[in-house]
Amino acid sequence: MLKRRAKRRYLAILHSVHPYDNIRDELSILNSITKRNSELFGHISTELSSIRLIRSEQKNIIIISCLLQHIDNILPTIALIDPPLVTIVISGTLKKLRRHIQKILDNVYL
Amino acid sequence: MAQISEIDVVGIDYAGIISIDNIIYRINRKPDELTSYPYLVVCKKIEEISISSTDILVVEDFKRIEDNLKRIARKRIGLEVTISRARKQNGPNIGKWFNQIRNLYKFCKLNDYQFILSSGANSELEMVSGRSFDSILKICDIKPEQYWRDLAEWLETKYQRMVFVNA
Repeated sequence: MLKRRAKRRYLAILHSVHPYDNIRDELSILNSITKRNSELFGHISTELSSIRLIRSEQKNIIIISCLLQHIDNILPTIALIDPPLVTIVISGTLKKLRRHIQKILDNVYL
Repeated sequence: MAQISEIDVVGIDYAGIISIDNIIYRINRKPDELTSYPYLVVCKKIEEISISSTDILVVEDFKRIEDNLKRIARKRIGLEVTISRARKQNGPNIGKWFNQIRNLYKFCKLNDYQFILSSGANSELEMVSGRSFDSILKICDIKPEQYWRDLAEWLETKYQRMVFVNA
């Protein structure tokens, strides 16, 4: 039997920088995503989505990953979080995602 | 930001300044004279709807819309639902919101209105990417390709109706 790894998608999410703390804690953003996802789609779906936090170099962008088959639950979850978050890039590899983020940063001021 | 979010045309409130291309201005009243910009007349209350000029009605209470709209509004008007309102709701209410979208879409299809799902953004951070719109539509049993095609066709008919003065 072939042992295949489940496909993942990497998401770059833009968030506001808190004026006092300088940065909204990445973990608290991840928690707000998992909490909202559980509210909307249930705890089982959230666990199966296997959401992971990946460190980002930009202070107003966080990178998360989730399983490809659950991406259509994760995207609405992110769009329906208050304070708002914006998914700016989705990619199948971290390398491509980082390259894409860099391209955006080179072209526009975020 | 719209480009990053894979949105081709953005609708924003008209504040007297005309900026770049790919923007449609949202105004409250049809201008008396020709304009140098594309616009859509947006109405937020069903009581204030103008039969001749309103292009979009923002839907807040779906039940009231369903009961009253058939009598007063002309066909092909856009019925807009905003994501920003849902964002502030709790889980159960968002569940209801998804169901309302599904019902509103069916209502629009049956009665020849244009269903519009909008971010309702007041800032760049409140914008919603094209891919996220697709996922929300899928949850509501709406085919994203069909939705975007219908919306583009509807916008095209609005463009044809408008006469601009080249700025």
